[in-house]
Amino acid sequence: MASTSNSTSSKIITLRSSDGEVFEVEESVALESNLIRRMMEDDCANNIIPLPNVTAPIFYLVIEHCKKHAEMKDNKEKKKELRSQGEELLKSDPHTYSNLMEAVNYLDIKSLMDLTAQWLADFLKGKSPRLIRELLKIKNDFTPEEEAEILERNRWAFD
Amino acid sequence: MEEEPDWWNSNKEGIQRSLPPSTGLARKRVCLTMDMKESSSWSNLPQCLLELILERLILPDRLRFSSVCRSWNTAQAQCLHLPVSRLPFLVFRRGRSSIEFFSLTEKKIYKMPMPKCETPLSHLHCASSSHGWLLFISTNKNETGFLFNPFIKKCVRLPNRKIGFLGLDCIFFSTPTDPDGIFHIMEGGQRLMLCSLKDPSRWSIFDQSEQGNIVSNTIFCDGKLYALNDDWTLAIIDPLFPHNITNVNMEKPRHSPRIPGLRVRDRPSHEYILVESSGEILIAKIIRHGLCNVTCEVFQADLPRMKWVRLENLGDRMLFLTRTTSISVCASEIGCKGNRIYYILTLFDSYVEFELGSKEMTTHSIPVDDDDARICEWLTTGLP
Repeated sequence: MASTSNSTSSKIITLRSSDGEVFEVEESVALESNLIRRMMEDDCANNIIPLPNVTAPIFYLVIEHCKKHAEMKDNKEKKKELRSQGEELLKSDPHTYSNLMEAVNYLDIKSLMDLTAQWLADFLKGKSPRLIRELLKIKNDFTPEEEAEILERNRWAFD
Repeated sequence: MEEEPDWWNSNKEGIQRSLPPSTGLARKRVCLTMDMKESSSWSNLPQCLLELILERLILPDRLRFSSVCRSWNTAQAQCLHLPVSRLPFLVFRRGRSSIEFFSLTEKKIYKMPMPKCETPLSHLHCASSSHGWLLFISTNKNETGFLFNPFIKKCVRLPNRKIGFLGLDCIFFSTPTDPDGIFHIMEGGQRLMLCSLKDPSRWSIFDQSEQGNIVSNTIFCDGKLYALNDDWTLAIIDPLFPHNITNVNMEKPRHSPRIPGLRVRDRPSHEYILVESSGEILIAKIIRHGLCNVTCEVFQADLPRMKWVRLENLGDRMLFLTRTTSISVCASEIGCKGNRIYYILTLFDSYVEFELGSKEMTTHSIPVDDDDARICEWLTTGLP
């Protein structure tokens, strides 16, 4: 017979990503998300909670970050580790990073919103628009006239 | 003390004038989804997320951010309400042509184009600053000067009349709470000139020579203007009725003599600089020992009890001072150390950092390798 002694401390929540994958997550981790918290409070979460805006790979990333974030409290080493992972993701796969930011925003996980924004802000510091576009693979959608006008207006910040 | 990251000491790394080298990592791996849908996700980030990023950037970074793509440009334009770092720029001029800003956080120099004007820069004296505006007084006989805001690229001409003696006692400040911006120029503690950005050609001038003997700069605090008289009384000026001056008889600090008058103040001995700091009125008394050694005492106005109280600790505040400009900044908000006073020694092209607790003074020379450079002022961006 399996022991059920820790059933209260680690209740499992079942979630389904937009591409149909099902995740089982400890309640304490899932509740970092204010969206999930609200859904559970509204009692519309008896069975599987659907997350129509988050794909499985991104959701996996979010969970991983949430767990690490919970561990990192008062732990400088862990904090550093999480940060360097975030930075590595930003450099190697900026598209996924932007998806991560969107997912964290959708799930309303305040701590991770702040962290991902901070890493990105640190990354942007001192970089020219051209370099930012190149590194993050953002398309320059200004017309040449618009770009010239913006450059003229803010010239001092570009030199 | 030594191991703290010292972002004041820019000489260590030299001035970073070019962009940091590319990390080299960007091209290492091309992510799988990227080539199909280039950039869509970054351009579609919701405004609330973009604001989270923007609020963590200082002004030059914000402007670069806004030049990346359209949606980021819109985001920046829509969140001008976000506070930018209050840490002031160190303004200096080099040679005869340019005004330059040293960003203390970035250790980087920005060149600002000066407005087109007849007077060459060498004949302009940068007399004061406030909320993004610099006051330039012409040393040419037939010209007065102008106010210039390099961040919004606006200029306001001064009234066509003789100003101060060499303009050295001109004190300028703008009212931060007024959306139209009201400029006040206190001329030698004798005359108050007012002008609204709404109608920059019209100046109102109020003679105040009858009222006390103002020996400090003037500050704006809680809707009123304040200046210090030579007997430590505090002159309170109603900005709507500048003829109405109330002198509050403040009990002076112990062992404090009368303050030398305005003209004597030019001798490098003592200066009294009023500071508005989180709603409190402070006096920073700058004491010059010899040419370059500076100590500082701080007093706080206890208005209900009408007395000056000596402050031993500024807590989380940093004060950036010149004779005519005072800026108080919350240190922890910008990752710096508080309880410090920064004071520009205009004649010596350096500024001192004075720690009020330990009473230790550090001199920082101007962070450019150029004999021509002259430090003029501290300047905040004036953005909200």
